[in-house]
Parts: sequence; C-alpha cells; structure tokens
Amino acid sequence: MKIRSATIDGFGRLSGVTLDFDADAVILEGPNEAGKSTVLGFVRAMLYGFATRANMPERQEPVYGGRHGGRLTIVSERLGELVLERYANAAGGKPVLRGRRGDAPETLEQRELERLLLGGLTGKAYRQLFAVGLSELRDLGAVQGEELGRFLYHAGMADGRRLAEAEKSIRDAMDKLYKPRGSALPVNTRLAELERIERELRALPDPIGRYNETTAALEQTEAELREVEARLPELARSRDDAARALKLREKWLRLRELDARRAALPDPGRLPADAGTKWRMWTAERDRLERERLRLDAALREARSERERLTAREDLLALEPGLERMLQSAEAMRALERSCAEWRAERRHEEERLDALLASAGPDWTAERLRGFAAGVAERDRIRAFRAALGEAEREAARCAEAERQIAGQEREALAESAAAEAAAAAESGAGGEDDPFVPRTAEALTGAWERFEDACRAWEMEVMRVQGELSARSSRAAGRRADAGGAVGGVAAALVSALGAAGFAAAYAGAHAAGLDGALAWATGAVGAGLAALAAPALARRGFGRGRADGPQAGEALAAARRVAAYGQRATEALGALLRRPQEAAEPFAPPAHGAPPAHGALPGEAQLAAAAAVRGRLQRAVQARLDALRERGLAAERALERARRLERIRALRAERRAALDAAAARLEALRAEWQSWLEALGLPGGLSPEAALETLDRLEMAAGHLAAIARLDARLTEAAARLREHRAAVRELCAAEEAAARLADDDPSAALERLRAAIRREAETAAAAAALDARMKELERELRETDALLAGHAETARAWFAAAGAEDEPAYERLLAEAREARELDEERIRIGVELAAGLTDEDRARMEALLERHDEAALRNLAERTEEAYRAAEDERARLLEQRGRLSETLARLLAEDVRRPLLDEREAILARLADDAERFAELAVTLALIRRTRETFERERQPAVLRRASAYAAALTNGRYRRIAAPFGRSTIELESAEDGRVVDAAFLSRGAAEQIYLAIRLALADEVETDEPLPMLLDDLFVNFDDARLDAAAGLLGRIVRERRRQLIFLTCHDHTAERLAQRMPFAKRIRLGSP
Amino acid sequence: MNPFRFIHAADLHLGSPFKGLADAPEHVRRGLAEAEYAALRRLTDAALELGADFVVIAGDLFDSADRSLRAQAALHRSWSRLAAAGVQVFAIHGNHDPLGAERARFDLPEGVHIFGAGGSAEHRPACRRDGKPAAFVYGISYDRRAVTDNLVPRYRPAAGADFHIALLHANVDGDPDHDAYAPCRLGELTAAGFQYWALGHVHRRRVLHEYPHVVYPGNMQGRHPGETGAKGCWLVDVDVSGGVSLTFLPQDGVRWLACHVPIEGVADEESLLDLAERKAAEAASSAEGRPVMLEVVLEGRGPLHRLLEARGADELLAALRDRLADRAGGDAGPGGTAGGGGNDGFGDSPGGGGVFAGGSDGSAGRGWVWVHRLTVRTAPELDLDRLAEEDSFAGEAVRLARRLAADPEGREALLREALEPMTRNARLRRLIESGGLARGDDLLRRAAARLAGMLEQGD
Repeated sequence: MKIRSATIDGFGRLSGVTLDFDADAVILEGPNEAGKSTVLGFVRAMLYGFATRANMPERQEPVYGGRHGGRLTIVSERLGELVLERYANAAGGKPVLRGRRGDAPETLEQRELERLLLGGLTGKAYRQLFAVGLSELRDLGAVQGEELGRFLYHAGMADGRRLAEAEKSIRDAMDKLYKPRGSALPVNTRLAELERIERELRALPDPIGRYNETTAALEQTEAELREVEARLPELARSRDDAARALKLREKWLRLRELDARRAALPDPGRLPADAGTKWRMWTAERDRLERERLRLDAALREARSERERLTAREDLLALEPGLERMLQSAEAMRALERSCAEWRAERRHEEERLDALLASAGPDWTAERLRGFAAGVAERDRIRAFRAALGEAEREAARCAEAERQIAGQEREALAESAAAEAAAAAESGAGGEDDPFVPRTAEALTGAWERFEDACRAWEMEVMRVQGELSARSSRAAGRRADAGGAVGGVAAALVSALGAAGFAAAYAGAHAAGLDGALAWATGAVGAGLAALAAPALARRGFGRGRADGPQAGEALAAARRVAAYGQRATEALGALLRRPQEAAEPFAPPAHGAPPAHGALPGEAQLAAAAAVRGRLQRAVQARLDALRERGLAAERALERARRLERIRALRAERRAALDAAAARLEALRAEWQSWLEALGLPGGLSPEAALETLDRLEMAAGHLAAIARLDARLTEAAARLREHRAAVRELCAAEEAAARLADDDPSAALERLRAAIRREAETAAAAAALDARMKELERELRETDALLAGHAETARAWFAAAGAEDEPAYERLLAEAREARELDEERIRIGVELAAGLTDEDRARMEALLERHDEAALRNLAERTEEAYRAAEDERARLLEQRGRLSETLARLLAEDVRRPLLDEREAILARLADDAERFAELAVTLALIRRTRETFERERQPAVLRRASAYAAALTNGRYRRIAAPFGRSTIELESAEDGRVVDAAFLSRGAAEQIYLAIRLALADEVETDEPLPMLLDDLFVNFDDARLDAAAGLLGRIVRERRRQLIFLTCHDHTAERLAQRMPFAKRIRLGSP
Repeated sequence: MNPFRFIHAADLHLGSPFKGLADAPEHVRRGLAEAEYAALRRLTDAALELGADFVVIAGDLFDSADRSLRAQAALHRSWSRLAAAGVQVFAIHGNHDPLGAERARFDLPEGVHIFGAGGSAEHRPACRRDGKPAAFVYGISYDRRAVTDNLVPRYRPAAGADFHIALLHANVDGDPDHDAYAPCRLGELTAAGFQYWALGHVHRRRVLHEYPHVVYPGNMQGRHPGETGAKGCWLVDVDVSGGVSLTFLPQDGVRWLACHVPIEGVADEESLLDLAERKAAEAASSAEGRPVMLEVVLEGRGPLHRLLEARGADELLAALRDRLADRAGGDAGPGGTAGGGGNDGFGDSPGGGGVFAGGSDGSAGRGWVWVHRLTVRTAPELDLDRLAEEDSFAGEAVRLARRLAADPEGREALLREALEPMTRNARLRRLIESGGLARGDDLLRRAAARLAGMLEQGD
C-alpha cells in the first residue's frame, strides 16, 4: 500500500493543505513548527482514528479553521486506488472509504479497515512500527522482561490482542472457580462443605457397633426375664395363701363357736317342719275374727239409738195432693194478672190515638160528636166527581193559552223572514251595475254576444294558421333552390318566428300572471298586460322582414297575407265591442290596426300572438260564464221575498181564532168552583177544602171511630179478670191454715205461702224414709254377728287338736316347743354358709393347707406372714416389668437401627458435592491447561520466531552501523537486548550503548519487526526525524539502507525532517524520492 | 450328571451412595436410595420364581466402608427367604467388604455359606432343591481391603463332583478402570480345571471365555454416570452333558443412560432442546420401564458451540428437565406417575407396559427420567487441521497440543504445571490422583479446541 496524496482539511496547525506523496519515497522538509509532526499525526488519525478529547494534544483539533479531518488517496496492490476519508464530526469519526465500489462511500468499522488495508495491524502496533518518532523508538529501551518478549514478538501480531483477551478471560474464569486460598469461590465452598459432611459423618454413631451392642443387651435381658418369670408363680401362691388365711380367720373362728352351740340343743322331735308357720297363721286368724265381732256389736248399738230419735207429721203429708192442684192454678193466676196490666196499657194507647185523630180532623171534633157523625160511600163518590170536573176545566184553559202563545211566536218569526227576503231582493237587484264590464244586461243578450265574438275569433285564428303554413312552405322551397343563399331566407323566417315567439311569450306570460289574480279588476289588468306585450311583436317582425324583403319576392306575398289576417282581426274586435264596455284592452292581440299602425307593413301575427288571443278568449269566456251565473241568482231572490209575505198573512188569521177559544175555557172553570164551595158547607166541612183534603178528613174520622170501639172491648175484659183473682186468693188461704208460717204469708203473697207449705211437706217425707233404712240395717248386723261367733268356736277346736299331737298341755307350752326347733335350724344354716365360704375356689389340697395355716398361726403371725409374701411377690413383679420395658426399648432400638439409615443422606450429599466438585475441578483444570498451553505456545513461538526477527535486525544493524555490530540477540526469558561487536566478538548490553548507537539498533529492530508482522503487502512507513543523533557516516548508511528497503521491499517511506543535511543526504541516496517543503513558499 | 440351574451375581454394593445426585429432586433421590435394594429383591424373586437351585455371589456384597446396617439387614432378609425355600447361597467377600471388617451380628441361615480367607479355596457341595448333588462350589474371601496376591493358585478342584464352580473376586487381565486386586490372567483361569469361574469386581458384564466359562456378571445396579446400561446377573443352566447356557437377567432398580446429541446443523437453542428431548425420550424408551438417570451429552461442531461455551449448560439443563417433567405428565412430582399412566409422552415405545411401566416391586418402579447432567462436548466450527497448518499463534497451539498428545511425558509435565494450584489442596490432589477428572489427553484436546475457538473468534 502506498499513500498517493494527503488532503488536510483541518488538523492541528494545518488546514486546506494537499500534499502529493506520489513517490516511493517522500522527503517532507520544513523548519520547526512547519507541521511535519502534524502530518505524521494526520496520517495516523486517518488510518486509526482521532484521539479522544481526553488526549487533546494528539487529537489536534484545527487551529486555523477547516473541518477537522481530511482524506488520503491510497494505492493498494490488491484493491487499486482508494480514497480514505475521515472527519471527526461525520460518521462518529469512522473511516469512509471510496473506490471499492465505484465512488460510493462505505462507512467502515475501524476493525474492518484494519483488516482490509492494514494487514490486521492494531493502532498501537502501527505507531510502534510504522509511524515512528524518536519517542516511540526509545520506548523499546524502557520495556522489561516478559513485556519485552511480548513487545518483540507480539506487538505487531494480529493474534496479540485476542491472545491477551483470551488469557484474561481464562484467568477471570479460573479466579471465579477456585483459588488455593480463596473461600467464597465454588470449589473452595464445596471443599469446605465436604469437610463439614465428613466431620458430621465421623460424629455419627457407628450403627453396626450399636446394633451388635444392642443385640447382646437384648439377649441378656431376655435371659433375666425368663428367670424372673419362672419364680413368679410360687411367690404368688404363698402370698395368696397367707392373704386368704388372714381374711378367712374370722369366719373360721365363728364356725367353731356355732358347732359348740348346736351340740347343746335338743332334737326338734315330733313337731312337723311347718308347725311354726301354721301356728303363726292360726293365731293371726283368731285375732282377726275377734276384732270383727267387736266391730259388729258396736255398729248394732249405734243403729238402735239412731232409730229411736226419728218421728214424722202425718197431717201435713195428707195435704200434698191439694197443694199440687193449687200450685198449678197459681201459675194461671199470675198469667192473668200480667194480662190485666197489658190490657190497661193498651187502653191508654188507644185513647191517645183517638185524641190525636180528632185534633187533626178539626178543632171542634170530640168523641161524642164522632159517635153521631156518619159519612158514607155516597159522599166520597161525590167528592171524586167534583175533583174530576175541576181538573178537566183547568187543563182546557191551559191548553188554549199554550196554543195562543205558539201562534204569537210564529207570527214574529214570519214577520222577520219576510223583512229579510225583501232586503235581500233589493240588494241583489241593486248590486253589479257599475262593475259589470259587459254591454248586454240580460243573460240571453250576453250569451248571443259571446257566441258571435267566439266565431269571429276562430275565423281569425284559422286565417293566421293558414298564412303561416304557406309562408313556411315557401321559404323551404326557396332554401332548396338557392342553397348558397338559403341560410339568409331561413334566417329571415327564423327571425320572424322567433320575434313572434318572443312577443307571444311576453304576452302569454303577462296574461298568465294576471290570470292568477281574481275578479274583474285583475282580469282587466291581465288583458292590458297581454296587449302591451303583444305590441312589441310586429316591431320585431318588421326588422326581420326588412332584410328578407330585400332578398326576394316572398316579402310581398307575406304582406298580403298579413292584411287578410288583419281584416279577420278587425271582425273579431268588433264582436268584442258588442260584448265588452272597454273592448280595446282585450282586442289588442287580434288587430294591430286597432292601434292605428299601418297594415301596409304587413305584419303577420305570430304563434305567440295566437296564443295570447286564445288566452284572452279563454279568460273572457270564464268572465261571461260568471256574469251569466250572477244574472240567474238575482231572479231567484225576488221570488223568495214574495213567498215570505204570503205566509205572514196566513199566520195572523190563525192567531185571532185561538184567542176566542181561550176566553170560553176560563168562564167554565169559574162556575164549577162555586158549586163545590156550596156542597162542602152543606156537609159541615170547612168551605176552603180541596176535593183531596175533604177525602183525607173523611179517612181520619173513620179511623178515630175504629179506636173508640177497641176501648170498649178492653174495658169488658178487665172486669172479668178481677173476679177470677179474688176467687183464687180465698182458696189459698184455706189450704195454708195447717202450716203456721204459710198461713201468715197467705194473704200477702199466695204464691210464696204455697211454696213454704210445699217445703214443710217435703221435710216430713224425708224423715220417714231415713227411719225405714235404719230398720233394714239393724237386721243385717244381727245376722253377721251370729256367723262370726260360729267361726271362732271352730278355730279353737283346730288348735286343741295340734296341742294333743305335739304333747303340749296348752298354748304357751306349744309355743316354747316351736321356738327351740327354730333356733336349731338357724344354727345349721349358718354353719353350712360359713363352710361354703371357707371352701370357695379351693382344692382339697388348698383347704388342707389353709386349715394347717389357721391351726398353726394366731392373727398376728398370719398378718406378718401375709406382708412378707406380698413384698416378695411385688419385688419379683417389678423386676419383670423393668425387664420387659428394657426388652421393648432394645427391640425398638434395633428396629430403628435397621430401618433408619442416618448416614445415607450425608453420604448422598457428599457424593452430590463431590460430583459438583469434580465438575468444577474439571472445568478449572481445562482452563488451567488452556492457560498452560498458551504459555507453552508462546515460549515456542518466541523461541522459534526470535531468531528470524533478530537475524534480520542484525543485518539491518550491521548496515546501519557500517558493520560495527554484527548480531543482535534477545535471550529468551531475559529482559535485555545484547549486541555482538563485529570487531572482537564482544557482547554488549544495549543499555550501555551511546544514544545514537542505541537508536540505530532500535531502528534496526523496528525495521525487522515491520518486515515480520506484515502479512500481505508492505505498509508505508513514516519516520519522523529519527536521525538527529546519527553522524554523517551513519546517516549515509541509514539512507543507503532505507533506499534499499524501498527498492527491495516495495515499501513506501516518508521522511519528515527539519534538517537540510538530512534531507540532502536522503535525496542523494534516493534520487527517486520526491521532496516537499512545508511551511515556506 | 444332574442338570441344574443357578444364579451368578456379584458386586451388589448394598448401601453405597450414588454419585452425581446434585440437584436431584426428592423422588429421584428416593428412587435411587431404593434402587439397590430393589435390585436385591428382584434377584431373590428371580431365584425363587425361576427355580434356581442355588445362588453364587462373587464378592462386594456391600460397602462396608459406609457401614450401612440396612444393607446388611436387607442381605440377611434376602438370604433368609432363599434359605427358607431351600435355595443354597454361596458367597465370598471382596475388597469392599473384607472379612476383617466389623459386621452386624446376623446369624447366617441354614444353607448359606460364606467362604473363608485363609489357605486353599475350600469347597462346598451345592445341591438341587430336590436334594440331588449338583456341583462343588469353591471360594476365597478377602480378609483385607487390598489383596494384591494372585489367588488363582490357591484354587484346586476336589474330587467328587461333575461340575466345579469357582468364586473369585479379581481383576482379570488388568482392567484399567478397576483396582488391580487379586490380579490374574485369563489363561491361568482356563487352565485351572474348573467348569465355571464366577467372577466379581469388574462392573462391566463380560464373558471372558466359554468352556470353561469365565464370566463377570457386572454389578447389579449402576451407581454412577459411568455405569450405563442394563445391570443384573446371570442365570446359568447346566444340562446333563455339562453344557452351559447363560441368560442375562436385568435386575437394576434405576438405569443410568447417556444419550448423545449432535449439534451439527442445529440453528438455535429451541431446536437443540427439541432434539435433546427427542433423544432423551428415545433413550428412556430403551430402559425396560425403569426410572432413568440420564446424561445428555452435546457433542459435535455447530453454530451453537459458541453460545454453549459462553453461557454454560445450566439454563439448558433446567429447560430440558422442565420439558421432560412436562412430558412425563405434568406433575410427576414425588413418586412420579405410576405405571402405564406416565408414558403418555413416550407412547411410541414398544411393549404394552410403556416406558414407565414399573416393576412389580413398586418401590423403584415408578417411571421417571432425570437428566442428572448435561455435558457439553461441542467444538467450535473450526477446522483444526487447517488451523494446524497455519502460521499463527492458534496454529502453533494446536500443533503443540498434537505433539503433546503423542508425548505422555511432555503432557504430564504440562498438566503438572497447569494443575499446580489444585495440588496445593489435599482433597483436590486426591481427586486428580484418583482419576476423578477427565484424562490428560482429553483435557489437552479440549483446551486446544477452546483456545483455538477463542483466538479465531470474530472472523
């Protein structure tokens, strides 16, 4: 790759500068501050980007303006000519490349650019090897140790950066896994966990040891248990014997005593076994019988004394039948008294009614007068006849009055109608005189005038149509003959027609518009409008025909036709004059002459005028029709007025008749009323009564007579009842004489006296019944007493038979015998019971043992024995329980040991951790091996590469030093560069060289490295005043060497120098070099 | 001679913990804890049901180092059942349960014989259940943990039987995965005059020789991710003419399996999960209805390598576990779904019982699949061969790794240097020494691939 030119837009102190580098070697000269180092920086910046703002001196922002950046034109062997452009403020300072795909700019990533153009060289490497100033050159002297190796062999290597990254990432990964002294890292953690688990495992009891111990203990326990269980039954028996003997001792002693007592008693002998029972029953029966006898005796005595006290009054008992009868009639008497009271009340009531009726009948009516008054059916009949006659006469009078009133109303009505009809007829005949536009005054005359006008109109229209037809036929013929002039004639006709049309339209419009209004005034207005509009038509037509006439003979014919038409029009106008009072307003459509225009002009009415005429005619026809209707209406009104007048006359005659009938009816009524008055007074009733009131009065007097009769009947009944009551009271007094209390009451209250008497008789009857009952009871008691005595005698006989059988003299002796026999039986029973208790649940052998124990020991000794045996037994029991419990515990321990696997979870956990540890360790190991591989490879790499680089560097150094040093060495693993002198083979450490010599050596190494790292094509190298410390000879040697390098390695070299002699020398050794001066004109 | 039938088992390792149980849910832990006992029960059931005349067990009955009482009790129960049915048991002790170790005091039932350790191999007559003689059984127990002598010379067939069975707990021909106890050569065994060498110690089932038969039954229950596949015992039938036929009886309660998922052409994580799930299901369907402890190994080269490298496998593992749990019926939970109900997701598996149809014992027969580990063995999409040609650092590294692969000493030196920080911790040192890590060449190969991947990144 070579740089063809550099264009600096703005970089440091340079702006708008283009440098032409189009040569294999370029010598860029310039004084200090001319911008040489700026050019170096610019090339670096173009290739590797701008320095950041943190590094302003290298960033070199423009001082004298211009856009920060610029471009390089580059020629690559592979890619041809390219332009590399880079601006700080565009594409983020990324390189933009043109030339690969035409002129299209490609924005690249820095790494892409490095790969594409710079052989993968990094910026750092480029600076160290290809854009070298003195400071970079001297860097080599400062690096140390392993750094030197890396610097020497990897500074320019494409792998270098990645290798460093790889190493770093591997170290990081390893550090995250394990460190020998780490603690929180995975492997370390797992190691710690393993320690913990193993500690815990060691701390766990050994299950097998425990199992064996437990098994042994269990066997021991079971042996002891068997031994204890063998002893237990004997101990239990001894304890039970002692306890039982102690418990039974009391009973055993009692049995002995009973035996002794039984031996002392005699044998019960002849007494049967149930003698005691029988005797008890016998004595109980005897006692009962004796108690019964005593009771009966007492009862008999008591009944006798009671009987003696009871006696009854026979006389009172004999009154009983009479009393019954009297009681029944007393009831009837009480009813009779109640009836008397009612009758008296009724009588009072009747009297009150009677008085009321008499008072209402009239002021001077009394009972006595009533008894003398008699008014029968005949009077009533008479009254009713009067009532009918009076009613008839009154109704007749009222009917006549009503008829008269009606006829008066009709008369008023007819009078009003007649007046209205007269008024209407007068109004009808007076109306329409001035407004009538028509000349004829009657209907017949009007009709005739109209028909004449209509005929004239039709004739005019026909003529107009005919003339027009001719006219148009002629004009079309003319058009056929003169095709070239046809347009003109057509134009004439068209103009005529259109003119007529326009006029007609105006007229029709005005007419139609006016026709919208109503009434005669509107009609007149419309007719005038139509006429005015029609006036315009002939004028227009004249203009059209004016031109037409100049063209041909047709105009003359037309004029004649127009005159004909005008004549018809005249006729129509005359007919109209006969019809209308102001005919000129309606006639305009028909006749232009009507207005005095010269017919010679021969204007023809057009279709519009025809239409206007038709419209006027239509309107006239409607007006004529309306006028005819009005005339007919007037005739009808006059007829109606006459009719009304005749009817009024008829009604007035009828009214006079009716008034006479009314007067006659009133006179008849008055006569009848006088007759009625006189009849009433004759009968004795007040004269002012109406027939209805008279009838009412008669009714009341009749009812009062009824009440008078009822009072007489009640008086008779009361008298009879009083007699019967007196009779009854006497009978009662007689009956009650036998009983004192009743007798006292008899006068005052016969009923109470009878009650008292009945009570006395009832008491006596009860006494008699009680005495009879006592007599029967006494007989019964006496019989029972006799029976009881007989039973007692029999009972005593039975006892005597028992005494004889037992050998007892009397009752006490027999009872003694019975008592001895009972005691002997009781003793026997107790002995048997105790014997059973002592022997319960015991074998004969047990009983014998028990007997022996009881015979041998007193109570204290037995108690002592029981305590001792109990204690021995309990001790053995406790021992057994303890052993059983122990056996259970041990078995359980064994079962648990067999079942549980306490170590297993820990072991599993240990294995799990071991597995993870192995994984991690393996990963760590892999990383460690990778790292070792890197280390080892680097050593190999360095060892094998170094000689090549150093050989080349040695050659360069020899050339640069004019053969003073022939070999450069950098021993592996040491941080020094050594030189071998050509003269004496002495080896010198580069650190001890003079500055100039050292710089020559470093340059040689750079050049060699640059050769080494390039992979495809050589890169241009910029050397910034490296030769200041070179003497002339060495400078000359250097120039020679560099010239050779340019030629042999096709490397473009760009020298930057401020020293003229350097430039001269270089130019001298490299005649092909291009010299550029910077910073001066 | 009388035909007879016996069962040959070894390496019961009762009571030993399982490896790789990190993160396992409760039902898995419980299932595993029961697995070896389930296996023992099945062995006993099989002996009784299949009419075995006797049972021989060639050592390592239990892990006495872990002193599990339960293990001894279970063995005792098993033997008692066999003895009660007239099935004799002959057993020797191996390196895990040498005679010297303290043991719980269980009385051996009648008909069970444990061979002693001293002198020449003693012999016992084995009879058929009907009492007719069947064979002589020989054996020598270990009296200490490490028996490094060759025991074969101490076995001599005795006169008086037609068939001689020798029980030996030994590493024949130096299997590198097992400790070299009682080392011997196959040739010595075949020449010793026995008809059947009932071996123990090596956990892989192998028939080393026929006529005479030299046979390892392998262990009864896989105990760590390395012990994959069916585990069980041999059912040995000996016919009238001395012909021997072997039938393998799977007895394991839980099966360890590994399934390999290639990432070639897998574009994204979702597809990878789908694939892994399918592979897991396939693997599970081969487990004869047993619960499965599954290791899923992602391998091969593919675009996902870098993602896996960067993110690790933890999330992926969790997602896969979720999926399999869902697949097993949503709420497999503790105990999982029982029997045929749990196989919805694996309905295409052969056999009516389905993948998750449990065994008859029920304790470990609940079907579940637990992915105990997701191993990422993928490599970047790199052409290491091309890289090895390249003149670059990565190329140099690959070349170096390849050189070291063929240079054990150089490799060991590199490993020593690399693992120095680990050896400072005693336990890690033991882990390295006991081969707890991947082998050196494997580590080196992985390291080179990783380095190459890291250096080539971004191109």
